[in-house]
Amino acid sequence: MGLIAAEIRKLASVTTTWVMTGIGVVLILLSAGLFLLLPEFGLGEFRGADPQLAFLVEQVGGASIVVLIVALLSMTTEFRHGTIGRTLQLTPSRTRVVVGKFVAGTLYALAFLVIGLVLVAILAGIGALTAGVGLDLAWQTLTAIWFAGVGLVLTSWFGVALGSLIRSQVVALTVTLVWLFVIEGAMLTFVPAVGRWLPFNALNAVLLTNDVTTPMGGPSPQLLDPLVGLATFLGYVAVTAAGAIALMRTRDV
Amino acid sequence: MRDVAVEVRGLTKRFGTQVAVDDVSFDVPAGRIVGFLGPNGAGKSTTLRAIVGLTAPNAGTATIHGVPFHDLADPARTVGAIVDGVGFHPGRRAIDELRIAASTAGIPHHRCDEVLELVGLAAARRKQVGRFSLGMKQRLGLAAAMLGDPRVLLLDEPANGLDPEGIQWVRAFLRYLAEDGRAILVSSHLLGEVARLVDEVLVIRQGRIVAHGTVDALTAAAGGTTVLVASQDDAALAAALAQRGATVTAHNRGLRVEGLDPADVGAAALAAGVVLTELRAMTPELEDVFLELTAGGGIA
Repeated sequence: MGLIAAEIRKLASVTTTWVMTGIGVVLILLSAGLFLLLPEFGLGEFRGADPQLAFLVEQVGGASIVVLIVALLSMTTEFRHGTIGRTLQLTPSRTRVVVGKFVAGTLYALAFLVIGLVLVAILAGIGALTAGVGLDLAWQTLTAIWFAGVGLVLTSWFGVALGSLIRSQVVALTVTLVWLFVIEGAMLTFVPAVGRWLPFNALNAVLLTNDVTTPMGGPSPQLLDPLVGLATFLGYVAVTAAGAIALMRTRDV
Repeated sequence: MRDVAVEVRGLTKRFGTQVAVDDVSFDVPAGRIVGFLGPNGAGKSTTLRAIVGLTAPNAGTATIHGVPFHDLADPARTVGAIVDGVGFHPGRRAIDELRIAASTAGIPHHRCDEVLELVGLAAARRKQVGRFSLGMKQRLGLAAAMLGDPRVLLLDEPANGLDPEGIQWVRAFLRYLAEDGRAILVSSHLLGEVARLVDEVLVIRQGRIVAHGTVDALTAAAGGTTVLVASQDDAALAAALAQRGATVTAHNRGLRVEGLDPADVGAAALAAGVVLTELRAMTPELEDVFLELTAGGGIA
């Protein structure tokens, strides 16, 4: 428990975590707010329907980049500032150190999910009051919450694993962001048969199960089925996590 | 028999084809301060990192009270270390850095305030480490090392960046800890400070230990005493000294005498009826020994 408490304190005691969380809040507010305010974006007139609520919930998962970066920095920061030496002196088991960061990442991801859901609930409540409708919270919304939670937790693990594998902070951030926004985006556009199997596109299949361009509730035709996407992303996480632990156990620090 | 706290045997570390540490063996006894000297790249930090498990040796062992670092049941309460400088997140407050370490090691948080008080940083506990001077960071590093009240301290350049007052404080602090029975291995390039601080010296060059002993033993082995002498008749004195087997050379306004101690020089002058105007013994400093050893030669 002490190790987990220490890892949580590491996250909470630096400004970067709070700034990134703030950015996440803005992203969720912007995306969910715009869909509420501008029906022509695809959500249609807000009626408080279950599919509409599910779509709003997905905006929390849409900000998963925040969880990814915070988790990645939780490891690379240790190398950048040389604190990894003391971390490993206090906890000689390197597997425990990495697992501790996985757990801390999980707790951050869940906290981010809760913050996001509160924001979405407030926005949906305002939308319902404005439109004079009730909120029909049912299985589609609950499913979206479940996928968002699982997706964010796995994202945090992926971030910690990537940070362990690529310990240079600048390189890790650059490679991850270029891969996420450029390579996977391009692959999904130009070679969708391959691109949809790449990690972040597989994650998007989990987090964005309701495509705004399709009739309400339909999955994006470009992405994998949500469960297949979940299994695929889980595979990527398992491989990178195993690689991260193996590398940490053997590398000189 | 000495109570050995740190035992290093045949430690070897290679990075590719380069041998950073080559068959290094030494002990650090309890209650002693051992200075670890060597030029940059000699293998000091690699040795310290191998002792605390940050780097895996290709051969050899390093144990703390007979136990490899990885197997210590309570590392923070056994070994306190500053290795490769003091690493802290610049955006984190000093007290948070210590609380993180304390949480990890299961140490009560009130101990963080105690060690900050111990190193004179109590007033800066809520200050971000990025705003600390180098000297303050060194003190915080010592505070972190002392958090678990360990019996073994491994300190890489603990006086680096400290002002004279800070250096004096570190010297007194480490001496107090050693007198309390702790084993302390301290690497440093501040040779004057090491000479005044340590009980024993290890000198490492190109990955190998080239000397190990007390400061007095090393300086004695490095060449004994040279005597500088001046008189009212240097020519007569030089002849008298040469008769006694000394090597005499001119030195500024007097003579440089090797092979006799000051009492012998005085006796020779008296016998020759020469009035001395100056008589001074020059013992090699640790710095002289260090430079000689690290330039290529070895003593022990």
